[in-house]
Amino acid sequence: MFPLIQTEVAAKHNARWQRRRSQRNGDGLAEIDVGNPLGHDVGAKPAGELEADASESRGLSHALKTNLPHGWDYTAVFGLGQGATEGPVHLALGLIALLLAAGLGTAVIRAMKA
Amino acid sequence: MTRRTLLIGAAALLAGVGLWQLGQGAWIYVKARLAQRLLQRAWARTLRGEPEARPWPWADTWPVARLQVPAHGVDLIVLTGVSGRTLAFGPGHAPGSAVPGAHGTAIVTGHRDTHFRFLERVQQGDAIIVEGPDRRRSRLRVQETSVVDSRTAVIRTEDRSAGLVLVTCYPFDAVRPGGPLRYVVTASASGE
Repeated sequence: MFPLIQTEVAAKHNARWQRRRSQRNGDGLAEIDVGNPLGHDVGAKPAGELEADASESRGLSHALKTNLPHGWDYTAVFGLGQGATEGPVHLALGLIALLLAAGLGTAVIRAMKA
Repeated sequence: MTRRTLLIGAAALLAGVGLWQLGQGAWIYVKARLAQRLLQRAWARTLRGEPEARPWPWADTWPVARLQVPAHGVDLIVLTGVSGRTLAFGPGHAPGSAVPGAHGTAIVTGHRDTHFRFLERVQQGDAIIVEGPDRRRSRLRVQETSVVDSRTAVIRTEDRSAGLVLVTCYPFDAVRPGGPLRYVVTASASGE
């Protein structure tokens, strides 16, 4: 349908994801073939060819014409940092700071009592 | 100034920073939810024929589609554009890609920890209903879910039938945003 071309690194993550999902769903597909986890729709290319694809997508307009709708900005869709918020970072930092504050406060109170 | 006073001051400072950070983090999620309420109203105005119905007067974006995934209780208003500011309020439709529900491949991006969190649970075969400003509803089926590298992934588009590509960051449980991996869900009307 919409063939996706990806690197070996992403393919490994993808295989791991598909395997985890299969195990979670208990559908008996835990032993899937990680060599070709997505079947015919996703092609794994040799590293050299992938690098060429990446450089074309980033820099040359004719590559965009080949793969993307006319006028479509590749980085506008797959631009880094657009798929997640800073929320978890703020929450983690806040929690750590509060725990440290609680620890410090407890130590001061104990010292005052002693 | 005694050592004890310094320690009490440090503890108070840490507590203040901690509360501020928690507030900042919580606000992101509250904003994402509240915005969808306001966007539902803007969508209702869009369906009544108002072009570019902005959800609030200073908004630089407006609703372009409604996305429903009944199996996961998802009902989202899709905005135009994929800037960080837009995605804080709702999923964004990539300019230049097809109109959601119409012929061609529509690409919609969302945050993995807010609006597109549900993508983690989406299964092959799940129904996705897309409603356009003309009230036309298209029913699509999830064809595939995959993890791709955003530096090299290329989506070849389909012009003959309606298709939808939902994109979010991967992994879902990462604390820090960014990273090159993307989780991609492809859906197609031809799967019906």
